[in-house]
Amino acid sequence: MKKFTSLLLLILLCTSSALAWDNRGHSTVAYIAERHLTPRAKSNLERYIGNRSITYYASWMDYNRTDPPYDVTHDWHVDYWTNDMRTDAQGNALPPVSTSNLKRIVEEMSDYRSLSDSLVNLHIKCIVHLVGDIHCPVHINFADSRPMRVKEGKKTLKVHAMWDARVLASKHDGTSPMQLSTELDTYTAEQIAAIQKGSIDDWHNESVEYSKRAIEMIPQNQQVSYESYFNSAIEIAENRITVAGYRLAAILNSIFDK
Amino acid sequence: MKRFIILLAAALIISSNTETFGWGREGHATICYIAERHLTPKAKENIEKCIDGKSIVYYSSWLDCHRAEHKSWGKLSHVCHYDIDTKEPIGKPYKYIKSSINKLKNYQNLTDSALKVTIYHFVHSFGDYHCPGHVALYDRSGEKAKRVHTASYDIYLQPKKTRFHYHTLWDSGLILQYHSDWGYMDWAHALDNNVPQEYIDRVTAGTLEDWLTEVATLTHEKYDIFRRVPAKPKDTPDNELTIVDRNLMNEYVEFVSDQLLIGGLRMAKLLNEFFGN
Amino acid sequence: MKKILAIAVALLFTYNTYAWSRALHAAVAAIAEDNLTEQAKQNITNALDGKSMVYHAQWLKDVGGTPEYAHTRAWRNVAMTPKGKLIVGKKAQKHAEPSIQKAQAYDALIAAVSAIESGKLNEKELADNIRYIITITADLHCPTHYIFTDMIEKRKSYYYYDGKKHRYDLYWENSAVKGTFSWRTNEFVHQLSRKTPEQVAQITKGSITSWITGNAPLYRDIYMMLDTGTSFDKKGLRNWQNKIYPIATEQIAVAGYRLAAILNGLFDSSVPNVKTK
Repeated sequence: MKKFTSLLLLILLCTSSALAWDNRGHSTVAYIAERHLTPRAKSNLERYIGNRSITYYASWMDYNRTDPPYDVTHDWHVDYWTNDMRTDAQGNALPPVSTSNLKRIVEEMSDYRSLSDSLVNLHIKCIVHLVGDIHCPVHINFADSRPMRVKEGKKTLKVHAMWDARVLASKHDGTSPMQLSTELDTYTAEQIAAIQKGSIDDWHNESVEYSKRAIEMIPQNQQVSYESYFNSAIEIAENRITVAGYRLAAILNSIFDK
Repeated sequence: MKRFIILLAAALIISSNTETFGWGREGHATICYIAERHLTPKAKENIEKCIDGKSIVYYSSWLDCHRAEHKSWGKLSHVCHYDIDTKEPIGKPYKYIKSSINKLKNYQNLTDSALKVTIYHFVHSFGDYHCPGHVALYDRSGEKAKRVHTASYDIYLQPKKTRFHYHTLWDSGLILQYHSDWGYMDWAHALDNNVPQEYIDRVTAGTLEDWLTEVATLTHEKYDIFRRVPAKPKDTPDNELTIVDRNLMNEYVEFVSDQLLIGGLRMAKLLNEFFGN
Repeated sequence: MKKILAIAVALLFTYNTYAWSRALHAAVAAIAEDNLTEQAKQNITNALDGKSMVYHAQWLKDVGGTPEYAHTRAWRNVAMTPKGKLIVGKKAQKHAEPSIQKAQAYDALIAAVSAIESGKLNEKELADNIRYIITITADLHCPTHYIFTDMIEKRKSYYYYDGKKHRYDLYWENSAVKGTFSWRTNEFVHQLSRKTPEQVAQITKGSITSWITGNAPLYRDIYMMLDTGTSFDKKGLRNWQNKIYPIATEQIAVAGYRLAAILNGLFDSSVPNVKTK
């Protein structure tokens, strides 16, 4: 009986257990990026993904992290903040996981025509996803953030789960990613150019600041509501998703517009 | 306590088994919307004139909602039957779709109300017959016709750690599991993205019979997609059910995605033929 | 243990019930936005800090919980006499019936329109009043937001389905459309923003007051569409819903076009204002 109940609970709790953004968040990032691709980059890129849109593959990494041959990517979705960095056996700090993998892949792709078609296809799926991930506040693991819980009314939520889906849903439940992307993609050309500046490392450091703020904003009593949390959190979430979209476009243009 | 848990389990089952007789709403709407995107302006105008200015997408699941109001449809299977010896579609559902197609070829001869209902039937059933598992194989070589395969049993869906109706997985399960926040426009955008004319010509070549044969072959032979998960009796405990893991699901969802696109392109081809003049 | 189960149940159900009314508000705003003139759209977007109307569709309900906007919680409903005369202002506030005291949506809408017409608002006031209009116009096309003094008890109608009690007013906020269509915001526009100019002229004819009193006969009928306490089986519920969804989708379209008419009048100098009375 107990087993059955815990199984049920597991089902319920697992259904929304994405690693950073849920599928809506990632799809929205892809939509925004797609709209800012140059025509040349777009047509070069789409040749490698069977004429599907990049939105189709926005969560591909989440759906393929457990099975071979892609299980090496299992832990690529998160980063560790410097004070709480994972260390190797010798006690040496490991670099941020999602950021370093993204950097490596982007570098390999700088000469994408020398790679096999299937590798380019795989790299595209990874880039589309990881740029979204590194902009999600809870993809950064702090010493105490992982087990943290909040309460919404009588419900208890993991901070992580709250940021995966609940924050976005607090305002945009029932909104499709296509719609959400048109609502968020309202920045001017100058603003977009400023956002697209910098390196992946700069973006990571910026994300750490946002992640800290997302945690600090949680009220002392841990009760989250529209007034006490979501109202401000949603602005961060919308900003991060939009910014990730513009930067994903910048990366893909730099690779494929040639 | 026990009652509470049963209730909870019931709620879970209801929430996962909303649609048991064809594509779910998203699937049907996606096929119709992809079709609409490939209509000629003339065909689109002519069709919408017949259905009160609405989009065909509005009526994509009309048949599911209104089936009880029409006696002849209430019992009509949403699965098309197929004879594996003679390699041809058979039975009532096939006759119905064939007759709808013939009527639409000369739609001017129909009364307004008959035309509407024929369009509703066509845009729905044509979509259904592109759903994996909605073309059922029959072996009629023996004394009694025997259905070779049915997907009507439970499997263990490993990524969700739960048992799941295998047929429902194809109808709506995969679509909802992968992209629960997507609407039909999101699906069409993702799948129907600058598809080359050469591809469209290839998949829309042939007749209705060819297409039904293809779906039958794909779902049952080439992909061998049903036979990889053997049927187990209803009362099989969870841990003895055949497992569908994430790998298999990933393969399935690609197949479903292709079928949504192909079904839409073919529907557009026929509607352009009927209404393009 | 029980507590954990309760949380699990809450997770299953709560998100959905609140969600749809949010989605319907977004739908009305999106249809309106689709029908704004270029000038009106530009002016409104500027006033709303670069964000779209859709983005703000539900804002009034979100801020209703804050002390600053607590008074806006009385802006959801309107009340009418059996003869269809609006009960407004002090008459409503001093009414014996508590629900009518709080039925101030009409006054709030007229006040917001007049405030914008006056042209004397600062930036924040302008943004607030636009958002009042967006939310209230949508609410005033939801049938169960109308209180008829001779049928107050009808507002508490309910039905049973699957052994559970369901409130009729919540049905209209959540399931009247969702029970049949799973459209997303942009899909509502695709489906419903397709009226001919003649139809639009018919819908937007008259004044804000005449729209509201004009809605009343239909909305009275809608209250009568359910005998309270009815117990539906699956088929019965489906047949009943088939009568409701065409009305519900039409009301959303009408609300969208009327909202566009109000805003075009206020924010495009070449379009005449919709009269309040």
